[in-house]
Amino acid sequence: MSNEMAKDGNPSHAITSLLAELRKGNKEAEKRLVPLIYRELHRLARHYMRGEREGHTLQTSALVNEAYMRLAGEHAVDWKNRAHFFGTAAHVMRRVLVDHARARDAQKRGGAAEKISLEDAFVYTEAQAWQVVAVHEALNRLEQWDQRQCRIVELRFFGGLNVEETAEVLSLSPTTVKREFQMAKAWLFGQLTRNEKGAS
Amino acid sequence: MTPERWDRMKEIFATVSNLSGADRESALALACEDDPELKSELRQLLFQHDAMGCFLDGAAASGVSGRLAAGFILAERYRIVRFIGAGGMGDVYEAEDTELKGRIAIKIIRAHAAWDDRSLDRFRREVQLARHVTHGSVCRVFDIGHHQQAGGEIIFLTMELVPGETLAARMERIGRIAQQETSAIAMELCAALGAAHRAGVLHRDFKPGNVMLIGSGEKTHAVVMDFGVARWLGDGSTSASTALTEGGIFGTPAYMSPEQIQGKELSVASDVYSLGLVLYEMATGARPFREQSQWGEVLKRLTLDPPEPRATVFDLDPAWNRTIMRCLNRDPSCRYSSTHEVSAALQGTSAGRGIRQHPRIAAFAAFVILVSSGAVFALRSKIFGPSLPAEKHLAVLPFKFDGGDPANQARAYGLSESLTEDLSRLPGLGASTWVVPWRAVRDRPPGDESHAGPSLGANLLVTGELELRNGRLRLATKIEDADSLKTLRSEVIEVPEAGITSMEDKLVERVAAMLRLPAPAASHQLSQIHDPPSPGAYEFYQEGKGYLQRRTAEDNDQAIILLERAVEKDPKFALAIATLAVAYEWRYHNTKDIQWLEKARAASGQAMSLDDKLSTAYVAAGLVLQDSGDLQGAVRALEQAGSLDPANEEIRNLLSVAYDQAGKLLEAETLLKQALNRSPANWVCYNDLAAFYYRHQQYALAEPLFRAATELAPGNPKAFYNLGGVYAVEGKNKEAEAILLQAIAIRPAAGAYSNLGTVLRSEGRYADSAAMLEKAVELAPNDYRLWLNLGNAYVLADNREQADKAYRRAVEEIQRALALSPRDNQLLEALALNYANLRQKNNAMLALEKLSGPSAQTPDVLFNSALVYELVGERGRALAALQTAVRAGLPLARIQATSTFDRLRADTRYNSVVAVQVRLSK
Repeated sequence: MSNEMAKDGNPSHAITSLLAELRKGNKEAEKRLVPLIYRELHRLARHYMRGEREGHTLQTSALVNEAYMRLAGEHAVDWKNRAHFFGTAAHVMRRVLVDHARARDAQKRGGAAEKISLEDAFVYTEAQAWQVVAVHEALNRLEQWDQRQCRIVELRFFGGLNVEETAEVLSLSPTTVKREFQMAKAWLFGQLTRNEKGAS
Repeated sequence: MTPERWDRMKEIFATVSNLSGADRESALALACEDDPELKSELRQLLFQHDAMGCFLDGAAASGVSGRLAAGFILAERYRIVRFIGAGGMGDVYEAEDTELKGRIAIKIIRAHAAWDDRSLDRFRREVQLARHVTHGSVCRVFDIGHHQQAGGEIIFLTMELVPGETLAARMERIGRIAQQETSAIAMELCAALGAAHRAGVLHRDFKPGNVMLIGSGEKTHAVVMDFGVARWLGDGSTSASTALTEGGIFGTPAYMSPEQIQGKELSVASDVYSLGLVLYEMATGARPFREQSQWGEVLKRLTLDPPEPRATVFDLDPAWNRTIMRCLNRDPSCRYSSTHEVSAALQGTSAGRGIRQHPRIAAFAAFVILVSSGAVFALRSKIFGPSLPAEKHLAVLPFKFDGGDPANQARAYGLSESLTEDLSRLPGLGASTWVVPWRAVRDRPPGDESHAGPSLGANLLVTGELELRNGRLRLATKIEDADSLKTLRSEVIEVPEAGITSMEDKLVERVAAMLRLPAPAASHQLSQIHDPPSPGAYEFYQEGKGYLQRRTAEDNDQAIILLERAVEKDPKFALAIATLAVAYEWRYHNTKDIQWLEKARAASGQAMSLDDKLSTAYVAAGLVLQDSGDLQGAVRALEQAGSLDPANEEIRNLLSVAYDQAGKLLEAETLLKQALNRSPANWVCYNDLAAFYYRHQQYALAEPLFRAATELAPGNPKAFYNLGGVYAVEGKNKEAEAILLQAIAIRPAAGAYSNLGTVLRSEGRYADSAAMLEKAVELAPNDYRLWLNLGNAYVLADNREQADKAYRRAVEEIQRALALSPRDNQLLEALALNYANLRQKNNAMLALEKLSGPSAQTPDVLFNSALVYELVGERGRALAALQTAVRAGLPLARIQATSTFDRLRADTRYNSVVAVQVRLSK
């Protein structure tokens, strides 16, 4: 009786089988994972808002990691599952961070503040908020001719995955991940510095 | 951009981006021969590649300064609790150690490409050194940790969490610090730096920001942080290569010595200079030459002598003024050569001003300066013979008696014990002068001086030879250099045989004089006797006490006979009655025959009613209560003994054990730490504290302390096999094996062989393991634990017959012990384990059912219960026991290293029930 501890309906059970599906390449599984992750991230962020957030900021990987630990429970031991979870969460994080940065910007200009769920959990410097949006927009352009490179940046930058984890999620070799990331960064760097000059 | 064009760029980019200069240019030209536009686009991309630095290397929401959030888990072990502070030193966090529980501080060392293997190695070595510094005023460094994440590795240091305010913050808040507080802080700073210097560690970045203050006023406690490692904690903005250059400039120049600013070699004198600046600032409220630019200030210090602090604070103690100025001498060789000298100079002449000092201590401190200053030294050595070291780490070796008479042998032995006790009571003992406790010396055969220095961590030995000649007792006593065994001082004390009472007094007086230590008040023994005992009683007492000190069963029997005769001669001789009570108690301990416990109880009560201020009587009472199961009562009795005789090392040791047994862990730890702070170079203190941590599974704390013990007493096998034992439970097999072989090379001991056997077993070398344990049982044939381990080794080596033989022998030994103490959980559990091994399930379960009391829930006991359950086929109960054990702090490595659990670990329930505890317990 290997699963006597995991009762049916336990989210850890659901997550584990979804991740297994995801590893087999089932795109449907990802769609079902996203709301689960979003909910958990949201819950955690609120938790941090109530608790000790003074002078603190949340780290992407810390938040995602905790969400994962809670969702996957005792099945959290498999690092490959963890990588796939992070892979999916990276996309959610990108959305959340960009929304948040834009909302801040809107607030600053006196516009109506769009209510963003993770808002208070993140404290950026202005430069970072700007960078998050700029990277996001540049990635939208890059995606038009190189989706894989775009995904690598998403996983590394928004998801906080390391090279090996990124490689696992995308079924690539770590060397390829490193090489692609180098080039994508160089290109993005050009995009962002050019924008900056344009703005000033 | 089209995907095709991008792919082409990608291909070229991959090959050329690693090239540079002309190579890159020619490769680029070759690849883009037909497409100048592609070439210019690539050139732009390559330019960006070279310029981008660590752009996007951190995760997006890593916060304002890459700060870690509360709840973040570093290296799967440390949970960030809160951010404490930032600055030039890297971020500091309070964190919870989920493995060992408890709060620690974490310092992040910023990830840098420049962390190559070499600099990491050097950093490791410095941390290794730094963590040997154990002193109440030094923030302990535990370990280096690594955390892998996107954007590179985070390297961090774990260290003791010291709550409080930095000296820098306090000076900023209140400016000049009040005289009394300054004095209190200064003494602790000197002691802290001194302890580090003795361990071979320079601070290199001593400044108010590295000093943590706890409390205020006269009772301020100061803790110095970042010994030796400060320069590795440079902040992200300084280039790593600057921060890591040996001798190079790092950190804040404000408190640097001239030699450090010039990039010259650093020494103790460099720390003394920085200390001088801190003292200057505390006393006057500002550093000398304080001006707008930090470098302006520093340059002036390089070329000018600072204005005297008295110029700003007119009523400053002249001794302080002098001492600070000498610390700030631009020539390192003109400064004090140790911080001990600084503290002596500060308090030596300030005794009359505000800081009250015992006059004897002041005189003693002043004397130390005299011996170590060059010119005076030469003169003294002519007059007084070879010099004595300024730091005196004394060991009194058991005296021998020339001739076969056992009574006089015991007398000689007793004299050396009394001398140890008397010397350790001398005023003015402290960090630099201390006496190795008797319990570390007592097992040495009289007259054997070999390896005494390295095995006791002493630099001076006191030896003695007693003779009886023409009715006179003659004791030739010597002070020897512990390494060379050269005689540095010697003296002969002679008394009539009947006058042995006076021998003890004379002995301590003469030895103290030879060592240039302050004169003793009187022998402690004799001070405990108010009315002179009847003739002959004292002699019997003295001799009996000599036997008692030797602690073997036969010597104990002899001691009882002699002490009973002393009491017979003088029924009101309270000290003899109390000592007799201790001897009875020992007899009970050896035999577990209840009549001796009752005799001990009666005798201690009688001694107390004769003299209610007699510490020995309370010691006896405490031991009796302890063995009767009244642990709180034992604590109270021993506390009473301690308050009557606060300098007694033996009592403190007994009290710490009593605290531990009574569950008063904080008190036990505090007591052991105090002992260590008093004698920071005494290996016994490290060993005691480490053993305490080891008992409570705080292996990360125990390890550096045991290691320090091996370094302080490199010839003592005990220190080595203790360290080996810790390595073994931590799963550090390679280290364990190396250190245990060293222990055996020093002297073969059952403990060392047994620990080595355990290590070999966990490496799968079963036959070797059995061979080691055979050696162990040979040396200690009555130790059931060794037989049990031997049996296990044979099972693994597939020798069932030999295994059962060993198990049966273990059962015999355990039952012999259980006959005396039938409720001993350890014994019951061992019995169960043996029965399980002998496949006698019913007997095994019966033994487990008898476990009782709170100690039945300790990780060790639970672990062993799980072993029994697994062996008799009760998998479910085994898992449940392990789950509780892991929750109570059992390291997973222990389960993983236990082959009996191999199949249990393959059970799917293991991960979900046991292994996950480690995560969930976070």
